[in-house]
Amino acid sequence: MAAPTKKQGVLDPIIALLRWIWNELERTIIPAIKLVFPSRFISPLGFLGMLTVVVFVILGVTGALLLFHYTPIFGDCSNVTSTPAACNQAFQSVQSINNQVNWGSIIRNIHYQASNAMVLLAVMHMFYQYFAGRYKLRYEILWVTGIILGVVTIIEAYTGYDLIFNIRGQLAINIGRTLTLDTPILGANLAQIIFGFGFNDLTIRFYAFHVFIIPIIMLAIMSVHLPRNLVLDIPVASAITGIILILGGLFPVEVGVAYIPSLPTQITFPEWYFTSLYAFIRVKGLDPFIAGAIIPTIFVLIFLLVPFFDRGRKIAMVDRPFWVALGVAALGQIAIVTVWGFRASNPFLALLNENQLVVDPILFGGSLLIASALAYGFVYAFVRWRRAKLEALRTAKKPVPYRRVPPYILSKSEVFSLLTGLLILQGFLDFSIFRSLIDSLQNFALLEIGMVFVAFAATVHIYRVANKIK
Amino acid sequence: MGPLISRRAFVIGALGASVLLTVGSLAESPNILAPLIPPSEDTVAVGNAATLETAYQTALASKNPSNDLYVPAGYSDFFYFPYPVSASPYYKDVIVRLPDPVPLTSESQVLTVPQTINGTLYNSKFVAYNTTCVHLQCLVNPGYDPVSGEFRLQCPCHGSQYRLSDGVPVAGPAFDLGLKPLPQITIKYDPVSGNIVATNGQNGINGVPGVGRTH
Repeated sequence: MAAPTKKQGVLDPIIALLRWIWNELERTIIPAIKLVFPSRFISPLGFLGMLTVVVFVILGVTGALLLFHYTPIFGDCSNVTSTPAACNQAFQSVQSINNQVNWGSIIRNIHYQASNAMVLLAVMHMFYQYFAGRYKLRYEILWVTGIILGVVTIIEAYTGYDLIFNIRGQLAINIGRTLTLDTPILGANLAQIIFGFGFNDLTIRFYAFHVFIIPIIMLAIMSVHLPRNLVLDIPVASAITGIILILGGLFPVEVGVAYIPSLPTQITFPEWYFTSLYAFIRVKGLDPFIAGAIIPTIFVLIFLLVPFFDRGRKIAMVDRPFWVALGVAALGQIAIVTVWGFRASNPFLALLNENQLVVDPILFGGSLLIASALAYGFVYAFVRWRRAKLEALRTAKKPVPYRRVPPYILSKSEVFSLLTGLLILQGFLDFSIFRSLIDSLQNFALLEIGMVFVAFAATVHIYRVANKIK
Repeated sequence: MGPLISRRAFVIGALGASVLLTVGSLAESPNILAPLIPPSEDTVAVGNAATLETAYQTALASKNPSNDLYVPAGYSDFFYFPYPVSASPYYKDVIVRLPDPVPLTSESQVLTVPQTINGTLYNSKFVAYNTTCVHLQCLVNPGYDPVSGEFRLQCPCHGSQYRLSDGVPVAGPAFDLGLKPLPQITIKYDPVSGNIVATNGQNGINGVPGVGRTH
């Protein structure tokens, strides 16, 4: 008598095919990648690097879409008495992406906010790993490649915002080119290789750098930088994506003022990750090459070489007062200098004309020194005090007090009402996105798509928490 | 008896020689790149004397603060010389109808054109400079500084300022670091066309854009 056979489903062959493919992947590298999707909530600080990769992928996808509409041609601006239509086609194409291309402003806003998020996440990732002590004791390669990757990320961002060819991008190109020219020995050749002859040449070069050469370099460094064990939490990645989209909707990026050779330039600020260099260059009496190239190089070099100077075998923060205090002082310096870059010579006045651009070295250096010395001193003293306290407890054979925050347990009705609310919210958002796209309210649609991502993250998170309730 | 020179020594010697040759050719590279520099033109019209003078007189008479005497952008023109903008963005120059109250200095190179417009005789004064800032090569604009009461060429990046009468740095990093004045463009008046022209190719600019005046 035959065994009762299961009823054949329509999807069965497809499932069989997928299963077959999964089994056959055994010979590839894919099963060797240990990518863990945690079932419990863990702090996103631990996988900030993976979140940076997620943002990198978002940048890749949106960048690929922008590629279809961007024109890497500066065009013919030889007639300087009038502004010809063919002049600065690169800027015109960015403008048309923003105003005419379907979904163009949405994609551009995502690309812009994701670039900011990538720089920010990379810096946060670096400082988290620094304070966690994960730069020494066989972490050296990961650390050094990470620092290089961070610098390359900022160079990638620089080439990106120059491609817009607004006045800000054009002035940034001039400054970058001069600093390259000032480099000893290689300077002139490097400047010719990177910046080329004229703006048509420069546009196509920066285009190649931004969309191909530097991303390939980043992928190559990334392949060395990836640790053996990877963690990715889908809800957190979704929330980060959502936040990027929400920011894109709330703070749409401007195209800026076109760079037209026959028109005057004007005061503009660089992106926030360059205002620190901008502040240094503006300090009175400081040689531009020292301010714009040597000081940042020294800053990066110090971080690059940290694992080779910190030879201690301990990684806990209490055991590394000097390095922890140094890290906090560096953070303070970055914050102060970044803010200085946005301010006039008198930081409490709005920057309106060229007279206010030069920064007083005593005020600038003084604020920098005082802030970093205070940060260093306080943190160093605090860590030493904390260590002494722990030592005293240990010698007295007393347990180290450990404050555990009791987790808030959701009741069943709370879980149900939250999940229902989130699902209704998502349904409403879906409807509303549809409406705002019909009415071409692009920023509103972007905001709501971002909210869908965040709502999805919240739903999965609550589901996950609720599953723990027994 | 073995070979004159061992195989290993030969390979090392060949490698060393090729590295030396590579370094040597790199050092010579400016000469290799020389054919890529575009040829210069003989005469370039950089602005019309009558047009600039009319714009200046309009600004003088204007009561509107957005286009009066203190907005030199109204009576100035940008041009590219000695090379077109497609060759290098750093050959951007500006010609300004120098406002009459501006005092001249020993460095000033002013072209004075006596011309009659609508029956009135004007002694128009013109100056022309390369606009590439000698600090970090941003592009400067003619402007007015209300604090010092001077007409200046102002840089929007880091605040270098040059006197409009002679292009000498008077404020900002170019002044603080003791950098050179902006290169001047040698201009002439062409009475046939009424244009102001820059002549003589590369000799028409007395300096290097972004580096400064040489003489």
